[in-house]
Amino acid sequence: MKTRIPHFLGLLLLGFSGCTPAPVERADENPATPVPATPTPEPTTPPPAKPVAIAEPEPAEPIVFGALDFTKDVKPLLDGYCFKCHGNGKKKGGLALDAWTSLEVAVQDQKTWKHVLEAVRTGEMPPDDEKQPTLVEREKMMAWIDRTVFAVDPDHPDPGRVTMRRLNRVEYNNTIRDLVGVDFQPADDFPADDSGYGFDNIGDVLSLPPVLFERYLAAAEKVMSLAILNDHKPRPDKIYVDLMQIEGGPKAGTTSVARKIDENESTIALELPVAGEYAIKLVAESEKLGGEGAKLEWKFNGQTLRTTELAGRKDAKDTLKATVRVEKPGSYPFTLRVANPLPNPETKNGRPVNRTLTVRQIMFTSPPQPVKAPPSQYKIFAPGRGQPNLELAAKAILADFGRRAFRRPLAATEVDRFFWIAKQAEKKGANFEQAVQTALTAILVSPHFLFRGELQADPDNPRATTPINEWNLAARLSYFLWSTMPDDALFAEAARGTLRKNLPVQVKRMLADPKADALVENYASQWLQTRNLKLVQPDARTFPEWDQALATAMQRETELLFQRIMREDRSVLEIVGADYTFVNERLARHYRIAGVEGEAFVQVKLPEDRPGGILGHGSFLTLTSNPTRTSPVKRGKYVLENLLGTPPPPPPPEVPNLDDKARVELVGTLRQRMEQHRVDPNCASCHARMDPIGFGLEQFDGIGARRDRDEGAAIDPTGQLVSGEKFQGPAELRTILLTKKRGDFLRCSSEKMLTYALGRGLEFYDRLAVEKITRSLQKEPSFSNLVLEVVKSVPFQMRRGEGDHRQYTEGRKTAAVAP
Amino acid sequence: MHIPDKSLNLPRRSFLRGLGVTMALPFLESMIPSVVKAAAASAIGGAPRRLVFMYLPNGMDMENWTPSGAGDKFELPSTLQPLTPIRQQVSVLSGLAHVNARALGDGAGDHARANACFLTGVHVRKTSGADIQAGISADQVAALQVGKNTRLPSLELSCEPTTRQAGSCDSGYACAYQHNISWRNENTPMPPIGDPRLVFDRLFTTSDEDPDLMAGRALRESCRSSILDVVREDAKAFQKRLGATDRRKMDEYLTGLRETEVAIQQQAKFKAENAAKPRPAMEKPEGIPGDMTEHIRIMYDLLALALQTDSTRIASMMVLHEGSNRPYPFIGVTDGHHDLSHHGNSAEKKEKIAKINRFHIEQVAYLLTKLQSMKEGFGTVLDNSMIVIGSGIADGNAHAHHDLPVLLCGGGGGTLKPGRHVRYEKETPMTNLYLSLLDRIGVKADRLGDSSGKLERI
Repeated sequence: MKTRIPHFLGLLLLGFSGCTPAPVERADENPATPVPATPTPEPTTPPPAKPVAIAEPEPAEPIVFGALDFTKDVKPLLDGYCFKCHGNGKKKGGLALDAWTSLEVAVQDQKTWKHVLEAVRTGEMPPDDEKQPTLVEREKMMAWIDRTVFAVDPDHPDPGRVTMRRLNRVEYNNTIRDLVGVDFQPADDFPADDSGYGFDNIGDVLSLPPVLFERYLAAAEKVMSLAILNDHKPRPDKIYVDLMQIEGGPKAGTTSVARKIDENESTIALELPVAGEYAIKLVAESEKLGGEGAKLEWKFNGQTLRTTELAGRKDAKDTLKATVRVEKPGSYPFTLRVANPLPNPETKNGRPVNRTLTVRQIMFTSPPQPVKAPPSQYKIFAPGRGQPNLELAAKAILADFGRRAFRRPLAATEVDRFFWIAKQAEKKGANFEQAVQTALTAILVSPHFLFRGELQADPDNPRATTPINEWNLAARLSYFLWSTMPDDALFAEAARGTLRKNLPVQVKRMLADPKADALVENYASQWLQTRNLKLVQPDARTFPEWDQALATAMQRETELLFQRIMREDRSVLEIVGADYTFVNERLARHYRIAGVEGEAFVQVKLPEDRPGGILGHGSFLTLTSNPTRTSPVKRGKYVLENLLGTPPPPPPPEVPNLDDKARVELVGTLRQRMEQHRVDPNCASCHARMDPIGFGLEQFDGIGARRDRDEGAAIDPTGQLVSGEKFQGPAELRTILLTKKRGDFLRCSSEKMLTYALGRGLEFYDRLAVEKITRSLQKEPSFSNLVLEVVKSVPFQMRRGEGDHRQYTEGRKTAAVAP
Repeated sequence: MHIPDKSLNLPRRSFLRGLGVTMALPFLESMIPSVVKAAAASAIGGAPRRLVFMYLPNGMDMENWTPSGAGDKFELPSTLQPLTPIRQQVSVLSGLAHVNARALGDGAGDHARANACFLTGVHVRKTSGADIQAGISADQVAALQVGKNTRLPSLELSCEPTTRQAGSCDSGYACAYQHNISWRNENTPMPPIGDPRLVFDRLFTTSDEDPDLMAGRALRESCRSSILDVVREDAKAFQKRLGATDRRKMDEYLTGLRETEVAIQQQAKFKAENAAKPRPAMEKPEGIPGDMTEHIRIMYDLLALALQTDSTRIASMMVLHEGSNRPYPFIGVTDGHHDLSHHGNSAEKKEKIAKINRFHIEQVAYLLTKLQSMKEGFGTVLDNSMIVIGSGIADGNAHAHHDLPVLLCGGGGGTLKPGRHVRYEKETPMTNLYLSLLDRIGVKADRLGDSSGKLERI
């Protein structure tokens, strides 16, 4: 029998990573029997650390224990390994494991056992300088805690309880887009959302501070002003110049918010819709060169408007204004250039440097123009057509809009209340459109819109479980897969009561919809942390080749991998195991892949020296590095946390002072220096989990470029995981993840996605759901199967009343006894 | 100085430099009467007292922070030297502590705890999210009692980007702890705004200026109370049908609603008194500048303007969140700040930390100088302010939460005696300082977090 590192009982992670307990067993042929009745012989010696066989995926086999008895199985372990410091009157760190009055009392103390489990799983305890239990003993200890302290009843799975979620910024913007149809992102002005368990859609931490309510009201008013036009007076139009469309001059480094201008003319053809006077606003910046700022010469339609010298300060942007007049609508050239290039350009780093400036924004304001009612107005008012009178028309409009906004039908009394607002507006002089608009504004600040509430009878009864209704299910689905409200098809299914029945069809349809890109943008970017590429700042001296284009390309590479797996319904294992990747010219050059040109991404085979999948992605390798160097610790931690779901414990609160203990001068590669550093037994046990993974990836530098040497010495890319597997370099590490650690990866993928789908942290009782999803993935690891299993899971489908798991269990027992 | 023609080429900086003179100054001109009416605790020349809390992350290199002398005879150590021109307005307070930021059995997570404890003085609950619990912060205690005197009860600012770091935060603590110093109550953080454009809008832009909102403005404003009445009743009815945790969410909603109503009334009241959103001669910022120095300065400009225009008297500024790992390449520090703070007594790393500290103190000096240049009544805005600047960690390497680096700046409207180095007994609660300051702006508070009394000798 093969032995593996205990991954089950990841419970401990509960408080730390959002990953949950793993199964006591999994991938077995008989999933209905969670604990075999007959004891399985235990290996008597720890497993030999064999080199890993690299072949087809072989599902890892867990150690399976039979019934465990406290006195016979557990007490001797506590005696042998723990009581020296945590028993017999000693309570190091405030922890005594023999201070409870009875076993029954002891197992009620989940908080303490959670700590114990964490410490045992991660090898934090016993400390390295104490007698160490065998792997099997560790697993036995954990199995007992898991089954006894954190027992769950597979016949009565606890669905848990999702705290009512308010829409986060992304969801708010998307929902307004789909509900109202205006091109406006009000939530960009909202304060940042807090995240928990690694995601920003967690109901518990999405609080609603007063400043946000103010924003909600302002946003609702603005959205409705844009959606419904009740003033047909002509008004000016703002025309923003797309900086990417400017021709001529230096094009390098152009983004939608920055365009460089030099002494050559750069031109854009502007489409001006009407005759009349246009105001031009131009925001630019430049640095002084030769004691003088760049002079901007701007021409409109071939005529020089003026030449302006910019302040030429790094910390100051200049805002320039002018007006022009056109006699008829049409296309007009607008031209910019630097009028005062140096006669003899200076030289910096062997390259000529001349005066340039960077344009940040160009905006034209048109003369007042007649305005047409926007399409959103027709859509919103459509249900009112054909109604016999205005009151019924208004109510029909409110009921329809309200149903889509609240993601459920409105009661007649609710419609009446919103209609009352319309009446109030009317009394103050509103016309029909304005009156309805006012009532619709109220719908957008109603708690039923801002929060996704799920009502249930008896909400404070912890044993009251109920399937969520079809409307709530539609909302859970659409915010999970699309980060927005349900569409008409989902609403139709909910109205008919057929959504639950047709889940597989609907999930498939939703995953094929372009809106499913939300999973890439919001789920994958947080799970794999590619969002952080916007925040990393590699040191420009160490990594001169680093720039925004490379950062963007790296982020895109990972997104495209996830997107392909989703769109083509491929195996989720390709996150690690893909033998291809996506590059554009910039990224291909970074990876030393020849023959890729242009901005567009193409799918390519990987070179020999770079493994496929996330381990070889510049994104992962960069965002786990420090600005000036790699961080094997951070890389290891990322893999343990996000790919294997077995996070290391956090560092001790008082970080010991390594330098005092190892004052010898540290030399050699980063790896050699780190190994010399690792002398403290308090640190060694946890770093033994993280560092080797990072060492295996040392052939990639702090921005993911391939290298063979560090500090002049050859890199040693070998490593050994705490569970024994040895590897040489990233390719073999990847193979281990795909074979020995396949189950861990699938379980972690399930946990992460379930967390995101539910919008709450996972609890130990969720392990039944996680096990079930993981078992299914073992057989069929396709993306759609993962999504479908998450959607079908008990916590996604059901909810229960307020209270903790024990109240749920006890309540149920009482209920069973009571008549 | 004349008010410049906006159609000319004018860099933003030149507007700001001229601010003290070009903008309408409420306390010099026609507004004094109305403000005096409103002010609970007025000070020099009828101007009100202000209370500001500022947070700097990752502790300090204390060797270059703590002055050697005491009283008014002390040398400014190198980190504090940028304050030299304004040192008469700055006191260094040594010996204060936040014991509740310590582990106290909760293990790792000093950054999250220090951040959330800084203004609350409480030991926050260790949770990744399910049941966050901190406590009300000093600024919010003040906002609740005296916030009604200004258009905005309080202002929460930071110099952070709006995009948060993905992934988990400090050691099993929900990110809310590490990203908010201001807390409305134990469950609701007051998120700071880091985008100067949004702060500018909040302070100075009125819906009158938005062409999209031109149509039907009077009608819209007159209907707001009907809208809010209906959704309030809806929320209350909804709340009755929810479980305990969800009911708390509805409490947040109802609190937000009520405060928005008050804000609308305040707006109307101040408008009637002709003191509604003042118009600064400052271009509306375009967004978050790419350059950190510029970002900090523009946020400090806005903070100064908010105080000067009496838009609020209570503000908190989490310059950067605790544990921030930003590098400072523009001053030659390319390593991340948090990584560096675990310096292991490396002289080189400590020197870099001191460099970062000094950079931040230079920015603080910029703010204080600006407030000092803003005349009002017979003094300056700084004379009438009480500004606490500090960190919840002393030495970042040890994550120490005692002997915290703390500055108390401004004259407090004649109630503070700045320009000294005051040493307190070890482990004196930081919250004692807050109680003393709250007292000076007319706020009644007997306790806050771990406070044990008021702090003397400030």
